[in-house]
Amino acid sequence: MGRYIAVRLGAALVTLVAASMLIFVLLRVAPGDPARLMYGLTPPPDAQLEEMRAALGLDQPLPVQYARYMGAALRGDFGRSYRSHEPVGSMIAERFPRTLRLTLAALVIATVVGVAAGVAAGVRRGSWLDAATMAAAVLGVSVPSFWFGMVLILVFAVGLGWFSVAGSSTWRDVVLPAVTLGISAAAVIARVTRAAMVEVLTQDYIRTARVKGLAERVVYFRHALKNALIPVVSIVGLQMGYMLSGAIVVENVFGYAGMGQLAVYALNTRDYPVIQAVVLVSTTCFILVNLAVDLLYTLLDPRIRYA
Amino acid sequence: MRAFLRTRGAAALLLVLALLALAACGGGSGTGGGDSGSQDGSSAGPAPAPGSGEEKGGTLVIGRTGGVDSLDPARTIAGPAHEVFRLIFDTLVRRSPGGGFEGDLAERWEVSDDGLAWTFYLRQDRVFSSGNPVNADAVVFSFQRMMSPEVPAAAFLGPVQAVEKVDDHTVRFILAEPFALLLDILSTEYFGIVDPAAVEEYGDDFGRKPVGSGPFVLKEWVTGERIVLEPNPLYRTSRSDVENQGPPHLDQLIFREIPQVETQLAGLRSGEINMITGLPAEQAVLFENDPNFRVLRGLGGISIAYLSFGMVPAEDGGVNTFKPPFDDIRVRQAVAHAVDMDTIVDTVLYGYATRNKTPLPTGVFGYDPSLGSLVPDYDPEAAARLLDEAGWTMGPGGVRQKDGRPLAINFWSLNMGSAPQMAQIIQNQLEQVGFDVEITLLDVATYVSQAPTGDLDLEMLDQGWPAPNILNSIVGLGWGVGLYNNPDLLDLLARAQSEADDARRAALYRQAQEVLLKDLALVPMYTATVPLVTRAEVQGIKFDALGGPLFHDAYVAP
Amino acid sequence: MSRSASLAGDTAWTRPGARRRGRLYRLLGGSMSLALGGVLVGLFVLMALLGPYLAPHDPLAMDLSARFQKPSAQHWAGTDQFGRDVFSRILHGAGTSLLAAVTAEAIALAAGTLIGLLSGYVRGRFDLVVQRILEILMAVPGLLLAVVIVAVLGPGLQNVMIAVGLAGIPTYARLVRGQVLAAAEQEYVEAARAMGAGSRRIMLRHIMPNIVAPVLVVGTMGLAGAIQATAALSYLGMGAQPPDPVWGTMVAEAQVFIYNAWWLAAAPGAAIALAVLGFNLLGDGLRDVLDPRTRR
Repeated sequence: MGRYIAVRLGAALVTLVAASMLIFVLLRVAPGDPARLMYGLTPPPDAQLEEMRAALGLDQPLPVQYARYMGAALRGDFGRSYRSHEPVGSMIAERFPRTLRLTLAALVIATVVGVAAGVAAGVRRGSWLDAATMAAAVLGVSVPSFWFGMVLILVFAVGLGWFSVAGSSTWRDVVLPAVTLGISAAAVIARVTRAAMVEVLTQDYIRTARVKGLAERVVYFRHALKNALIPVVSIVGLQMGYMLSGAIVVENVFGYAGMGQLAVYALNTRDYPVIQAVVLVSTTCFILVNLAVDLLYTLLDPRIRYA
Repeated sequence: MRAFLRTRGAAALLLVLALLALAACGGGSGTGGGDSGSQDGSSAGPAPAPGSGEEKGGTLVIGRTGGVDSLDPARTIAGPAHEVFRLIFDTLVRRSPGGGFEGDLAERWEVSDDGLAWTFYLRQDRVFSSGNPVNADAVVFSFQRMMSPEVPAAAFLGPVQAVEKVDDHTVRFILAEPFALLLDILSTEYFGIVDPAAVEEYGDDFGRKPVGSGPFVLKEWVTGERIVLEPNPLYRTSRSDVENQGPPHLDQLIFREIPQVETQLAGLRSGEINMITGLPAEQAVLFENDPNFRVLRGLGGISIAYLSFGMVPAEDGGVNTFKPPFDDIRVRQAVAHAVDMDTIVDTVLYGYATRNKTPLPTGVFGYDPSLGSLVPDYDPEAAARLLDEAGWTMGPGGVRQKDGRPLAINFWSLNMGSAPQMAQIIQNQLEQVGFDVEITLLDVATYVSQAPTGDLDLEMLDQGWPAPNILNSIVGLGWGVGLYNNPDLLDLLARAQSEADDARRAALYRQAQEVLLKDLALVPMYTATVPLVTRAEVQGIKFDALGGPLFHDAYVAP
Repeated sequence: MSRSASLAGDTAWTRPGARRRGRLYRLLGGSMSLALGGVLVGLFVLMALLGPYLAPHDPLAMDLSARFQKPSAQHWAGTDQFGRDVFSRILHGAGTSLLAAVTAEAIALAAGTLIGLLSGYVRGRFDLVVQRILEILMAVPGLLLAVVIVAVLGPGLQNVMIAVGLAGIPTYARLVRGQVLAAAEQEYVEAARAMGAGSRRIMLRHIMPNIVAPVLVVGTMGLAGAIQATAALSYLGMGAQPPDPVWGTMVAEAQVFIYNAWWLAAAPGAAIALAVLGFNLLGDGLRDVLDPRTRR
């Protein structure tokens, strides 16, 4: 197990370095010179532009820029933002916890709602409840999130005044974006849970449990749900990865000052060090979540063993 | 994202003041600073009952799109940053409400006969919010810092060579050549005076911990979410355009960053924010007749929206030429005839703009409406006639053609504010006289990198800057009218800038504009005003000479 | 990225075992979703093909005196900020909007399938390298990658399609590779190989048929995701250039008018939601019909 984790982490590191190189190259191919952009529409005198480029290190050949960047990054120094001159590390340190909070809240909402709906539908398979839940689930993944988010704002923030319209500090700020971000994951989780429940409920040991005269509730929750959870765990992990994408849109709808909003802003100003760091952190999260999911498997399903 | 990047500027002189105007609301809005009456604060709602003794205060929360990168004037010329740090720093001089300039941190100034030395005498009672005195050392320090080449605003200083301390309260600017626009430049907030002790203490972090002598101090900055300002208890001013000469009444002034306009609108309606700056005109107008809100006319009179034509650089480095089909002046005139600018100002900008047929903004020195007669009026029939004369005859599908080539043009603009709306209307009107128009809307980053080499035939831009050398920036872009290097024009602009006599300088700027308009190198459209929308409980907002909001007297009624 | 908004991610393809169902569910979940999805998708395809001929008004014709009109008999979905007929714009936009999603998905599907086939069949070092590259692409959040790609290529619908397509490649490559590996283990392939069949023949005759069904299902649902992804990029301001009506851009532009003209955002938003719904249902139904393991 320990060795397995070590191997996976090693591979993750390789992936990270490669991803950083990919983004590094993509950014420099993109039109737009960060130094030039400092001046808005009208260009400064050439000499001044050259000075600015030199000050940002953009006058160096690409390989040198990359080597410098990676060298510093490996020492934990992600450079300073071209725009604000703040250390990128501290910018991320400020933003990342917010996006993490948003994502976790969305995940909790999605899991609770999704599993509950899925279990209910699976247990009452064929009923109107089942049909209604599954219809809602298909609908849930079909509505564009920026549209859904706006509707939530109108109803719950402007209309009822329960939550705030925008912000990223208090729990009132987090609820609506988290629901928006979690809705499609909830739908997917509900479907998977339902399918797994249906599957598990036909198994022999459930029949045995029933024959033994155990209460339905005990059968469902003690025996069936535990086994049905295995595919659910994998899908929850996957959804968390997708949420890092979804956060880009949702954070912009709700003025939520997380990494997604930072990414868009940094991209518009071609603030290379910031974008690189955002990608690196997001990618690391994605990889770690996947690893965690795989490890959770072994806990839930004793049949799976990693050498 | 559409609205994130608000930088704009001019090299030799940026436009950032006006940034707000163009960027914040894009092509969007406004009646000009020319609307004098709307700028004196009288539009800011009923004045508080004088002497009522009520406790003024409250928290003013401003929602806007842009992100602030830094609050250090040496680091950024972006509009959203400027909108905040103008409240933290004071400048040597400021524009006076009646025109001209008056002392701010400086009490008075004098110019040497040769125009090469400007001496400023500082007020002796001004202190930074840290308690340190605003003295000659601080001023010299601030300007030396700004003159470093990696400071984006450095180029604005033009021929300024050095800033010297004469005595503790006197500084002298040494110029390489006379520079008539020095006061215009020094009055922009890019040249706010910073506390040297704070800069030394915080170094690169000064942009997050700015210390100045302005009405507000930075209390808290949650990046990407909010910037919280509080009154500077040591503040005092001599401004004649506000009643309160001491620290502002407000308990807090908060700038919230909310990227999407629709979310800002929701926040204003829910009461989470009580003011929005830079709203597109078509949004602001919706609040006009609602008693719960108030629409104020803010920054205006310093921007110019215009159409300009693609140009081809001359291979021998000589005079550049217009790109076909606009190499024929009749086709350029046809564009001016085809677009119904008056209707656009009235119905698309809902009057949050002043029709302006000259290259200079309505509120800028040298503005001369009589030059407008050089620009063709709306007259689609005349447009059709000119195109016929130029050999572009009507072909199939309503698209004109000449020698089998269709009259197809690429029309570029920025993907922000009302520009997309405006572009579609202009496209529609040009197509009615037989153009085939393809729109390209880009973010600023892509625009400035692709415009110099891209397939740009016609563009619509909105530039802002409070001084007449905005013309230098318009013809300094590096594409479109920015390639218009008519030697007469460049000579006139250079002479105007160093001409100390007002009348002669005005005449030179008039001639320069004539050159541009006679050649129809650009088609001026309008000068916008940025609307501010507040909730009704927000009281006492006044405006400076350019229409920038002043919060000295502001409070939020409970 | 497109995956994040579709049901394709729920791995039901590998869900083993058979299910017993109630009558109602069979009606609703199986043939019903296929039928409903088919009808919806059919309607949208018709709309895409015939929309321009059915539209009551010119989608580009402006009438500044008739702006922001409420839905009425004359303007079924009201008029927009230029007085253009929103219903006509939605009809005209169907073709572009769906074509954008189809193109993006086609890029992902074609490139992904090819890579997956080669990777699964050639195996060895090639497979190893390809897998590493795919891992990198998969590890970067899809929308983030797409946003960066659009920054590189410049805004515009065409580039949005390419970005969404590129971000979707790994999904297909992995799916197909898995199917190829599984198929290659099957006895009939072993047998064919033993009988001296060439690689190309084995690939085309024996392996391809096995991957068509899952790719079809994932592709259908992927279309749903692609519609959403292109809309999301439009919302972030990277989409189509005006004045062409494209649903995502229409919603994005209309949201600021939500207080004075709610129908402006509601109508194209509903079109997007219904189209995505149709493809999701269709994919769902297809899976139930095509997956031998869930077929009953």
